[in-house]
Amino acid sequence: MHRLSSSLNGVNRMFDVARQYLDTETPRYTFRRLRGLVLGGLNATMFRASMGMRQPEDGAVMDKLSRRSLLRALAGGALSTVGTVILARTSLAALGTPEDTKPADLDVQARAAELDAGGLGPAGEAHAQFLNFPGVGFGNGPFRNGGFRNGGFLNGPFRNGGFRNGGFRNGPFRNGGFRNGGFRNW
Amino acid sequence: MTSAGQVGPLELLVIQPTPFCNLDCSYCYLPDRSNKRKMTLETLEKTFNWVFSSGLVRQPFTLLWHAGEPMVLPASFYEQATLKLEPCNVSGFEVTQSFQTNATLVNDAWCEFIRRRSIQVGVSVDGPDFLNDRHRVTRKGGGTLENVLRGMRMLRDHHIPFDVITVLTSTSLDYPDELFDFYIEHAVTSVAFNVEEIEGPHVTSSLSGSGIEPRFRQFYSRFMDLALASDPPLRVREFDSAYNSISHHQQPDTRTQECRPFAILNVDYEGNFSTYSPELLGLTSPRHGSFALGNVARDTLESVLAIPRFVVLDDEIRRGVDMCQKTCRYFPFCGGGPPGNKFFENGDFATTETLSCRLHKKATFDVALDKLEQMKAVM
Repeated sequence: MHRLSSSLNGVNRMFDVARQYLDTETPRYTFRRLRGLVLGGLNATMFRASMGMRQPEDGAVMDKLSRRSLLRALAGGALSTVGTVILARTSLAALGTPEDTKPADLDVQARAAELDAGGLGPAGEAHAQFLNFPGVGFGNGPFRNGGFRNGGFLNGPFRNGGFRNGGFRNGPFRNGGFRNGGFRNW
Repeated sequence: MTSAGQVGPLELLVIQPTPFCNLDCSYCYLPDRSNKRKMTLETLEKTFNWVFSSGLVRQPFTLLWHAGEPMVLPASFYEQATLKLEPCNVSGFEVTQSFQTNATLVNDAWCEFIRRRSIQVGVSVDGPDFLNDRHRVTRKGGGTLENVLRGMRMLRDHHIPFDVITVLTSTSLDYPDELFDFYIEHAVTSVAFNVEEIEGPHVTSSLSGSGIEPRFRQFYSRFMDLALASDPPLRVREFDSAYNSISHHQQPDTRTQECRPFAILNVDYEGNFSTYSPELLGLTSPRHGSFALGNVARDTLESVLAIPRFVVLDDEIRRGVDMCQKTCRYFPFCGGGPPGNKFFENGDFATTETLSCRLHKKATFDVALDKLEQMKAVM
């Protein structure tokens, strides 16, 4: 009951924020992005309450741009799509709630080998699509290695691994060596 | 004795044009960030000549301007640096320049230079103000987010892609949704998470307390749910890293970039250089002496490879990697923990697990396994 109450308080607070920011400046974001922000905010409050996480302090729910975004999304009728998107997020939650995360002492090598059998199968294909999603700024980005500075998979996950000539060569991350322990602070 | 051909090849050249940073982040590992001295063009030219005559350049590499805020020097410094680099590069291999910046000093002149020279950019920002401004502060203690966002906006307006590094603290772990929304709202398409580490002068971490690991897993799992579902997708370096290491295991005799001698070369503003973890540059240890192994003005690579300090350091790091390989089930997906973390946390390079291992490697890998297994099961 307490968690439900906390969730509702959070939602009410966000609507209060939206009202405060009526008539602010023109939005700079697409409808899709605004919709995500609205639903993300609502979902965040409920998620945090359900997981026993702290709620943000007053005024910290969203920064100013988020508030404007929320306002515009509400004004634009984004709530009509609430069901769809919340369902999408719920499906993901059902797939992998934090409680399902396995402890570190399970045999990760066996799990990885099983996943890798058959090239990660549909999961790999899905991830490949994810990696190569058009318009994200990599693959065909202005830099030769795509968006991420360290060339992502250009240098392969391991020096003598197979990635150098295949797979996700145009991956986004700058520090391609990161996968094999490259310097992480860039 | 190790020969020059047995080390490298150079993958990452980290040059510190100045140790100074205009910010004073609470978790910074740079010991000398109030020092406003800068590298001279003469030292820079010596650095380039040293690098290209060392035998380390056997493939393309990245030149990363880092270890202080690079943009406190004017863009003209880097323009001159680029002009010096080109004739020095007798290797024929491409050198990609990269900046890691707090973005607070980005302006039109910087953007014009970055675009013209195809320089890659990474921005350090920790999320919404209640997270970012808690640790990433000015020298007077003020918040920095407003200026960071202005810089990010300028980069976007100039169509300069950038990625983001966020340092996670204990507080951040309660706000996966807020962080996700922050990235989406500010058009960030790829994010890398670092954890608040114990390094150099930063001797404690909010993540070293009890109960952090479950919270970290919970945070990261939730964040990945959002990132994988986002439209357009939000890429997360740690997830991509795990995915790729599952497909392409570490070869048994391969050390990681930070563990391989001279795969990374770190050069400070005076021309002193080190290798292995960049965080070691500028620091000393009673047992190892200075981690700076030489200076580009006077020491050759061959001479440095023969000095006892290097031999001891390399041996200790090698033993540490061997210990990782023998004791850690995650080794095939990691290749050995960063030596800097081992030293700062355990006091010895010939050790194994660190806070960074537990959170940044193991927890993120576990979560990636979960997500990929779930994806595979339902598709």
